[in-house]
This record gives sequence, structure tokens and C-alpha cells, in this order.
Amino acid sequence: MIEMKNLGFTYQGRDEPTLRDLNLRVKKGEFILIAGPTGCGKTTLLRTLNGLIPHETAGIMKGSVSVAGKDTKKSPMAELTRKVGLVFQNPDDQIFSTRVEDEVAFGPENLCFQRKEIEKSIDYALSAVGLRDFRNRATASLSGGEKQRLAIASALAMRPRVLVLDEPFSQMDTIGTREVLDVILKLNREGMTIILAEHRIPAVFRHVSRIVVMEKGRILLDEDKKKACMRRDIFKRLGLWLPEDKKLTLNSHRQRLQKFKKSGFAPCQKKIVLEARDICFRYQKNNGFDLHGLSLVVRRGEMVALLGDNGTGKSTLLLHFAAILKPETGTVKILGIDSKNTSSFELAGKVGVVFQNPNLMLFCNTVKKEVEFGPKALKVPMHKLSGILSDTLAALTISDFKKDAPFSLSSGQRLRVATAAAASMNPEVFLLDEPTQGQDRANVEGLMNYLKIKSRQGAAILFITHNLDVALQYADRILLMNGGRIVEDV
Amino acid sequence: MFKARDIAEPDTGGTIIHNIDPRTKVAILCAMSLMVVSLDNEKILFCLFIIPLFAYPAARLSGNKYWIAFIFIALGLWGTIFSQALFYREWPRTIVLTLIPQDFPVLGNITGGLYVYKEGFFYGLIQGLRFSAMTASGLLLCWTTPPQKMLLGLVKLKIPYGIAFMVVTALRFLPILLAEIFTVIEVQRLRGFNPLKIKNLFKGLMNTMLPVLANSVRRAGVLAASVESRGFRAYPDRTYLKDLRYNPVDFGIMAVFLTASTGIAAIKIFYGLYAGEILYISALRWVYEIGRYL
Repeated sequence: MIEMKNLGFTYQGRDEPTLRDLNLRVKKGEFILIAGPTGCGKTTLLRTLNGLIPHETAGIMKGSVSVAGKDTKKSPMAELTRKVGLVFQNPDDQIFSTRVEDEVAFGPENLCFQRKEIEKSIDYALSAVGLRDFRNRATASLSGGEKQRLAIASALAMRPRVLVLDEPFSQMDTIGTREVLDVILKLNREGMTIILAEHRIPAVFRHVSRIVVMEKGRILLDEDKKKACMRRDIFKRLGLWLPEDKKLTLNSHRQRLQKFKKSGFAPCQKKIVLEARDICFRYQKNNGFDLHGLSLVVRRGEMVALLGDNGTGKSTLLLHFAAILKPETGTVKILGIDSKNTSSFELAGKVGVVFQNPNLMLFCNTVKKEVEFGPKALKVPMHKLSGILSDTLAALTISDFKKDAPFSLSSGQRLRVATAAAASMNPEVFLLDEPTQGQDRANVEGLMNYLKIKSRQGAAILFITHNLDVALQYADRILLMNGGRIVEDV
Repeated sequence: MFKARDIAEPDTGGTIIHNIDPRTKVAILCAMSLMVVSLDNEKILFCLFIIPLFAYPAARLSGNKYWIAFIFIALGLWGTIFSQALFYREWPRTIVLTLIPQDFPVLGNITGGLYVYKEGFFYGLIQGLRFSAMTASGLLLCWTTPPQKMLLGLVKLKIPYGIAFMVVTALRFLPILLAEIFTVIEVQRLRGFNPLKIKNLFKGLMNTMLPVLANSVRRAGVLAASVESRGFRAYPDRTYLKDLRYNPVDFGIMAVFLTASTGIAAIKIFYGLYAGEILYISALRWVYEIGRYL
């Protein structure tokens, strides 16, 4: 179905090629997982499949890619889009229509399908992803999983024979991942060839037929999943999640917690730093509550993971503890201060927040300036500043990049810079919104180990994650949210 | 509290306002712009401003939309009136309030005195009402027209598809952009810097622009790749799932607005020629009378 021969690609303006001398054959009906550290060339490889490279991307392409016998260099995009459907990471960046059917119709309309054909394509695509009843729904009302299924339907509407997905689960909660994965598996069973790039290897590993691991634009491993499993060394060396990681369980977490309590580090007698009592909150007066009678206490030195599906109120709760949102009823106390009597500005230096998208947290020209920004704003004396700077940069392993522009760094490095920018003010409370999202194992481990040290030094850490394994491995306490309430506190 | 999404996202609904053809809405907007530029009478401008407001309840817009419209209009109106009342430079002008007298130490010398002028107030009111009428109409268009319908409407008005698509997509992503701006402002506040303080405004603006623009460029890249992957401009032409058809209401509304706007513009042109002593036709004296009032 697909054949790549000596494929190389160098983006315009870059000296180093992103893809180097790459050879790959994919048979009809295969389900292939493409893994590799950030920046290894996965996305570039996927973009060669439907002709985005070389037709719509400036750069030099070497070698060839053929899909269903057609050379992508010689075939026009219109022809290739009917053979290969491409779905991207974040559905919110791709969906631009306000109605489901309009979004799905976009491709067939561009390909000049007649109205009856467009109707048929919409029916087929929405049925294939289980959204047939959503045809007239507003796209904004869909959940994360539903939006990603809609993005898949939009690609399927052009009746492709190959479906290519670029980290489709990275923004998904557990339910969303399950929904999207079920759709992909169903399509694969029906004979569609699937090529999937994904960081969360354990989530998809047992379903794929073959694994391709990339490093620095080359294919390092191309084996069926059984053989790939034997090469754990490669996954470890590249900082990837292992295909079949040793699963932690809630029971093992409980045992670890008992051990931790006996060790004397247990924070149960320590000062309360965050406190929510019966809080209710809603974004719109006419809607239901986003937080509904929620109560929670977090003490000094605790490392708390907050789990739950999208829309259960996790981020809303976090914003309450940063005094960005105020409860409609009930009280929130941050370091003993009622949130109604304070603001995020007044809490600067006491509460450090790392938002979901680290890109929005970086606004200085260099990493050094970024990390210094907070302490300087808080008027920390100059003689202390250099010490804070070097300690923070070293602790988060970003000393080598201190003169680099934050936007020139990889996503994992950017996350560490954003964390360092918050950490340099030495806050008593750390709030992190999905810091593990879209990160490979090495990045997650580096960050979580740093946070663990901070918590042992007395800081309270509250982090949101969809990754139960990370929660089980690092948190002292796990909270599960549902319907704006905490339904489990382990 | 409202989310940034409320600002630009249309309400889905099947009201009479939603069902007006987007081409008719664009024609109304053009007619409104012609009228607000032509008119100088604050009472008639006020009437023009409230016409679209009558359509708001008919469109059954959510409560948040009313708040957003109120904030936009109130800020624009207040800003224009206040600035014109203070900095009116034409003569004659009547001082109604003295903020800083000319003999006030230092500031008096620097500013030459700061006064609120009656004529400036009315001049600002006229400008503000022009702005408000267009804001109220523009928001109504955005909030009652789904992007796909708007796209088709613009294409049918002979706007090139690529440009029409860009316009519609920009509107679609505006709320996300606003949400990101709020986030970056919050990030700065959490790091001990208040970008909303007057002395910090410039630095705060620069700090906010960089990440928001960088993220927008990244998002635009993803969107471009996504639409190219779905055959965007694969052929010179394309088909459409839905078609637009004018109905009698469209013709009626268009007739009223286009007649009113061209009529007002013609009267003001003839009146201008007469007032400038360029052209006088005695049979048009009734036109000059109306022109003086408008």
C-alpha cells in the first residue's frame, strides 16, 4: 500500500535534514505505530504520506514515497487526499465549522462531489465514527473524544484507504482515548490501513501489528510487536514509555502510602495550605454547576494528583486555588487567606502555576530572562538572584539553554522552562494543569522527580493528569473528580 | 462570568434573524455604513443605533451576548465622547467643566488647561453613535450567521473563496485568541507583574503579544495542513452541500435598507453641493430642507 524508498527531507532554512535515508513498506490493512522522542521526525514522515510534503511544504525531498502505486511527487494533492486521510493532534486546531455536518462536508465539497455524493459521504463518515446522531449538533458542544472522532470523520468523508493519525490521544482523557481507539480499531478491522504516531505507547501497543521507532530522522527499529517488546533497551534509551510497562495499581499505591506515613515525611499533621469548603461554581448562570459542593484540604509537603475525565471540573478547581476564579458559594482558603480577599497578583511568589499549554507561559527572549522574570518582579535582591537562577536551571536540567530563546526549544524543554519560571519564586504551593500531556517518558520523569523533591522540601504540589500510572508512581494522594465533586480520595 | 467563546461564536437557532440570507445581512451592513457616514443628526443616528438592537430579542441571543454587546458599545461610546469632549479643537466651543485650570501649578502650564467642551461632547456623541450602530449591527451579523453560511454568502458575493475562507476562519478562532490573551495576562500576574497597570501597559502588551502570536502561527500552520489534507483549493471551483436562496423577507429588508441608505446619501450630497455653493436647483429646495435636518 505504501512504499518509501531512501526518503529524506530538509525543511527550507534548515541545514540538517529532518528525515534521512528512510525505507518503509506498509501492507494493506496493517496497523502501524510510529514512536520516537520529540523532534525525531514522526510528523514530517506522516506529512509525506498525503503529499503535504513536497506539495505544500517548502524544502528539499529526496527519494520517493508511493501510495497505492502512485508517486506522491507526481500525483496532485486532490488525488492523494482521496487515498490518505490525515488527522492531527488537537481537534480544536482543525475544526472550524460550527456544525458537525458542515465540518464533514468540507473535504467532499473541495473535491467537487455532487450534493447526493456529499450526503452519502457524510452518512458513511459519521456512522463509521459513531456520530450519526450528532449530525446537526454544534461542534462546540462536543467532548474532546467526540471532537477527535469528528476530525477522523472529516478525513474519512473523502473515502481514503489509509488513515494517518498524528498523536490523536495526546489531548484526550481516558474515555476520549477509548472512544477514539475503538473507532480506529473498527476501521482497521474493516480493512483500512492505519498509521499512528503516539507517545502513549502502552495505551495502543497491544492493538498494533508493527512498531516503527525513529531517532533523529532515521528508522531505528521496525519490528512486529512481539519482537519490538524484546528491545526494551531502545525504548529506555530514547526515553519512551515502555510497550508493556509494569502496571502499578491502587493497592500498590496504598501500600506505598503506608510506608510513606511511617517514614515521618507524612504531611497529615502539617499546616493546611489549600482549603476548599462546600464550594459551588458555574461559568454561566443558566447552566449547571461546574463545581458542586466540593471540599478539599491539601497540606504542606503533600503531592496530590487530580484525575478525572474532561469537563469534570479539575482545571476549574485549580483556577480557584490560584484565586483566578472565585466560588459562587462556599470558601476557598489559600495559605490561610480567603480567595475572595486576594488575587492571583497578590499570590505571586506564594503560589506557582504551570498551565496546560507552556507556550502561553513563555514571553521573554531567553530562558534566563524567563526564569528571572518572577523574582525580579518580586524585587528579590540581585545577590540572591544569581543563586536562585543557577539552582533552578540546574534542578530542571535547562542550564545549557539559558541563552536560547524559549520558543526554539523542544516541547519538553519548554515545559521545564515554564516550571522553572514558576519555581524560581520558590512558591509554597505548586499547581500544574496536565504537565505530562504529550510528553515522552524522559520529560515526565525529569519533571515529576523535581516536583517530588520540592514536595519533600515542604511545598504542596497539586497536579492534574490523565495518566494514572504517573499519578500512582509519584503522588502521595490521588483524587478522582466527577461531576464537579471529588468522588475518590486515596 | 462569560467565556471568551461567547464573544465571537454564533448562537445556533432557527429564528427569523438567523434565517435571513447572509448576503442580505452584508447588504444591510453596507447600507448601515453608508447611512452612519451620511447622517450628522444625533437623534436620527440614535434611531439607527437602536434598529439592530430590536433584532436582538428576535434572534433569541443568550444573556451573555447582551452583556458583551453592552460592554463593547458602552466602552466605544464612552471613549469617543470623553476623548472628543476633552480634546475638541474647533471653534466656537463652550467650557462646561474645568478639570485642570490654566493657572494650576505645573500641569496647568504643560496642558494649557484641561476642559470639557459642550460642542466636543456632542461631536463625540455623533461619532460614538456611528460606532455603536455599526458595532450593534456587526455583532448581530456574526452571532446569527454560522461560518459555513457566511462563507457561502461571501463566495456568492464574488469574494474569492480563499479570502472568504480566511475571513470566516479568523472569526472562528477569535475567541480562542482572546482566551489565550486572558491566560497570558494571568500568567504575568502570577509572576508578580501586573500588565494592566498603566505604567506596565507597554511591557505587558509586548509580553502578551509574543506567546499569543507564536501560538497563533503554530495553530495557523496546523489548520493550513488540515485543510490542505482535505483538498482545500484542489480544483479552481468547488461544490456546496447547502445552497443559499433569497426569500421574500430578504427582498423586503434589502429594499428598505438600500432605498433608505441611497436616499439619505443622495440628499446629503445635494445638500453638500448646495451648502458649498456649487450647485443650486430651486426644485430641490425640499431636499435641502431635509438635508439640513439630517
